[in-house]
Amino acid sequence: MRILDLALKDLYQIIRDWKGAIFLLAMPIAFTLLLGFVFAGVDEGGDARLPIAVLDADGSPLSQELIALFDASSVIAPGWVAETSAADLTELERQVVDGNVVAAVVIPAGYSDALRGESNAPLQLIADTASGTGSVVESEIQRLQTRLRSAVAAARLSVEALVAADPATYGSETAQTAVFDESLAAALVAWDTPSITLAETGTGQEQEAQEEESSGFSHTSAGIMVQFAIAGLIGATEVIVVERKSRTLQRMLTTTLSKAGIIAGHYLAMFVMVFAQLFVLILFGQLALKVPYFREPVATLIMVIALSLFTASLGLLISAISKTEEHTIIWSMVLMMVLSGMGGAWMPLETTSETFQTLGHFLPTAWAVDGMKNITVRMLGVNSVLMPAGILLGFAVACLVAGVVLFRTE
Amino acid sequence: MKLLDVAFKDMTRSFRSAFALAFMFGVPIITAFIFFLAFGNVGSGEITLARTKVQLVNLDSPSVAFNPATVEMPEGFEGADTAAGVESMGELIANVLRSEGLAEIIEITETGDAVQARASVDGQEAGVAVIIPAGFTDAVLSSQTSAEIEFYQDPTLTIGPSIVKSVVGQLVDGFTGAKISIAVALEQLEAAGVQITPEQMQTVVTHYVQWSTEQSQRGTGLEVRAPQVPDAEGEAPDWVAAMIGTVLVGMMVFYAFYTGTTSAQTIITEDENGTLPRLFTTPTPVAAILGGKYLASGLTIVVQLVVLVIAGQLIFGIVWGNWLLVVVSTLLTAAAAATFGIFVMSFMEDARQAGFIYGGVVVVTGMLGMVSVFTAGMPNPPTGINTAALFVPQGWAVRSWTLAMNGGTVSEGLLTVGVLLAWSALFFLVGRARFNKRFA
Repeated sequence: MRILDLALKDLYQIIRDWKGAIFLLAMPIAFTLLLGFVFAGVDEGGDARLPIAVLDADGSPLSQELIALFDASSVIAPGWVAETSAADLTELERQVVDGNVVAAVVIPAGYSDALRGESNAPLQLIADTASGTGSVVESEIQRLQTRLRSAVAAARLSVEALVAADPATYGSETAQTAVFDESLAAALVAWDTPSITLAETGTGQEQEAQEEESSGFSHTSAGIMVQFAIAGLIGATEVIVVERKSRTLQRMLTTTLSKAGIIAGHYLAMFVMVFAQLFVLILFGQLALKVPYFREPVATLIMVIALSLFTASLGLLISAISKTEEHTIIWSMVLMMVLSGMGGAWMPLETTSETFQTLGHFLPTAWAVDGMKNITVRMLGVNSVLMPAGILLGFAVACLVAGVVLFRTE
Repeated sequence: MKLLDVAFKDMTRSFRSAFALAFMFGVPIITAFIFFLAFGNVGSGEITLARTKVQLVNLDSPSVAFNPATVEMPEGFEGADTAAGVESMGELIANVLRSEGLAEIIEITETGDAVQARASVDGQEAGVAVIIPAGFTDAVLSSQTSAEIEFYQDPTLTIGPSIVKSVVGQLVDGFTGAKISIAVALEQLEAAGVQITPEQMQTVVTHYVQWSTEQSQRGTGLEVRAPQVPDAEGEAPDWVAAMIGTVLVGMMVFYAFYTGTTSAQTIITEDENGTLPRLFTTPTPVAAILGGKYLASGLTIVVQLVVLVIAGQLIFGIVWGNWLLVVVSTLLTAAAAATFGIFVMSFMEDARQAGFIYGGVVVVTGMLGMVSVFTAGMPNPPTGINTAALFVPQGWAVRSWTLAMNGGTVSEGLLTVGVLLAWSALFFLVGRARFNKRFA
């Protein structure tokens, strides 16, 4: 009972200040929205396609056809199409370097002849293909060019076949041009509904179709939640340090409350605080951002409990090693940044190097984000969170043991 | 003189504190180092990515002969080795995915069970499963039937699967191209009333194969190169160093404002500890005491920024660009950060509110100001997101440093300089007025 009283006292102390509530809830919500808009590209009014610049030095009907294919693409958007000049080429490169466009495409003079197999004038792509967006643009340009080239091949084959079959009718240049244009158009239309396709599917896609869709905020919501759970320890750990400095902890020992009871009371307060914080953030994620946390409520509950236990244990450890309030702020912020940054809370770990991914998975935060994304992105069930939750509990036990061992009442 | 004494005392105390040093220098460098670790080796200037684990299921077994020459191969696979001796299109796709050129980015595991392959992706043992159906070659060679290659991926991954999808997609497009080309030619013959004989059909296929072979020998017709606008030294820019530079600028500005706030906090803590009231009993004017503290804050941040600039260049190879603008940015960031600290601390009633100030005001305004750092790699960030950063002084400080790194001139940065000066003046006047009133 005294443990409960102590926990309630801590909670009251933490939440009585409205500024604390802002820190615990308003900030993570604000940052989830901010970073969600930045990373998820949630900008319904704009063109989500990757902008490219095009320099058409060929100026032929086929080069125009290629630009039309670019324009119809769902991946790239030719926002800046230039005429032929050296100044244009320099400007084109500048546009890429300044980041105004992802890539620039130069359609060289003679490109049309090259497509017909009469010369060699490859398309030039100016892009940083080491980046994700650069490589996506490269493969899309490649895909669209293959489409145009095969359409030209179809047109050439048609002309050759008809000339061979009926040279009297199709011997003239006018007749051949008509056949060429008609076949080219027919081939491009055929490309709209190809009979050989790549069917894209993935983990949880069936459930996604039946239940709820994954949200563009799924990564940001999980990452920010993990980050601010740790950041929220600033106020809670401060309470313990202030009690130690003011010798309140020692005075408590003169009562029937044991050292274990004091630790348990403070630990319980931190657990409840983090649990409540995560609960509100999950509620916000589900209702406002459509992140499907509630599609597997048991799995979500397991992850929230595991993350709360770990964060509370970390809080106990921080309060055990901090001598002043300033130290609690510093430890909380440093741990928040290192654990969040390296655990994949800021950016998905898949965008990082192999070594970094391995290092990241030595940290509890990577498992917390993984577990949440198993529910909201991979659309998996309870079984999928058992391992992440188990690892979080392992970290929780380690921090708790260290915190208890190092805990001093004076 | 007294003012300088106070400033010197405060600076000495700051630089003696291991925790202050950790926040001024350690955390910004650690954060930049995290990104350095995350995205590769600055020395090589290349960004390295983890290999994508691919489960390959090839169920294809053709009932008719397959000629690999009819397929236009993706870039880098035009040679004869990949297609030599293959008896099905499924085998051709498998050969391409197994090839040496992709070994650095793809790790292939072959299995005969599609269910098991999907389960591996579900269990995060693989990122992608490519499942080539039975009768795939037959479907490609027939004009009547269609076929689907299943591309099953972990939805949390994007880059690795997109590379695999691109390679498989190019092969599929090659198959489709052949099919469409031959079909269109035959349709034209039919429309012209020409009776299509098996010989004519064979001629069309042969001509397509010839064309495809010629195209393969020429390459795929796409030359790729990185943009080559030279930097100040006439060398191509180091992309990773530039990215780390952007991150470090964000961290420098963020922690400069943090230092400004902690420095100004000494006014509150010394007041609570009784040091400040005792100082006020000496002949030293209040203005000199407070002025010394303001000066200490500004100078501490200047030292912090100079050390981080040098460390950034030495450790991460960051090219800072226009040095005159770097100096201007250093001074203006220091002024804005120091006065920001005075401003926010003048509203603080006691040291207990420090958590809210650091966690709330410094973090919120800092991260908002750094939003352009987050969007730096985005080609088309959402409308207005970078404008939001300009509602806080940190956003203008980041803008000033970014302009310097991009080789901008002081004249180009006049607006930024003016706005930072205006923020600094406003913060200083309000903060000083409030402290003067408090200690009057």
